[in-house]
Amino acid sequence: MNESNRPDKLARFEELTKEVHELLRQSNKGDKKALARLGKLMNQLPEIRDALGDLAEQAEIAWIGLALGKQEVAKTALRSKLAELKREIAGHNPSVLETLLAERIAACWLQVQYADAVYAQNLRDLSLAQSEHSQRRQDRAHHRYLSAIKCLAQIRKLGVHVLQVNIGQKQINVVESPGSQSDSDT
Amino acid sequence: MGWEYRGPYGPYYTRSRRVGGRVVREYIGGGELGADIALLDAEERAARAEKRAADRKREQQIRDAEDLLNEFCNCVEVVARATLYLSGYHRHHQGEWRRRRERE
Repeated sequence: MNESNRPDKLARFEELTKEVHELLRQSNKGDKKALARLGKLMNQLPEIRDALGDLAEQAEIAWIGLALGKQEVAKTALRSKLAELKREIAGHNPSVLETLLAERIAACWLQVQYADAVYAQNLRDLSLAQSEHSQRRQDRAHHRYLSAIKCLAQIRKLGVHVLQVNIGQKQINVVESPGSQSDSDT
Repeated sequence: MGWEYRGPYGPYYTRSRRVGGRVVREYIGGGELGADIALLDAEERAARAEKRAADRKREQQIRDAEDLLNEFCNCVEVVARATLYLSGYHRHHQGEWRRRRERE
């Protein structure tokens, strides 16, 4: 996707990523304002989750389309397999962050499956350069998949939870971890 | 690839190919035989061009899908990092996450 026809949505996510990166950097230096802004931003997690969910769905549709073309029955089966995988990874009563991380793992798994299948199918017909290109693509997919798994494992190991509590019309997001004070905002 | 004349004779159908870095012209034939083989060659070239175009399109689709996934992964990663930071952790020398010591 080149810069000129990049969807607005992707540009928005890039902005969000840059902003959070910058806030993290400033917070690390002890900037209290940056920390407060970061907290505020993360309190919009359910909205961010919805927007990111759309992005994940778009990515899934793209990979499923690439893998199965117009085989509608197989596509439906794969979608249901993915949904099951996400549920299994996210576990019982997952936090917003765990749901996002499970979606990330499932999307990366899809890419790994595609890269492996394409390489295996075309192995005999590929030139040396094409084979290397295909292997690099496989390596990138595996690396991304492992990073996704590692991130979820880390969140679970450290026991970080992001809870969403609805009291009346107010929505309260609580970021908490063992031994830390809850940080909440309305 | 094409038709050529040799003095008053021709046209003859010929093919060019590279042998050891040099281009060599290969004589195929004239008349009906030449015309039939020229037609087959043209069909083969068209099929190759079609496959190249399809490969390029597929490659672009793969890149687009990779871009979407990359963007999604990057966003989720920073959200996870921000959550860890807000929960009182920091990355020790850009490596493992450790609990932050509260400054007085």
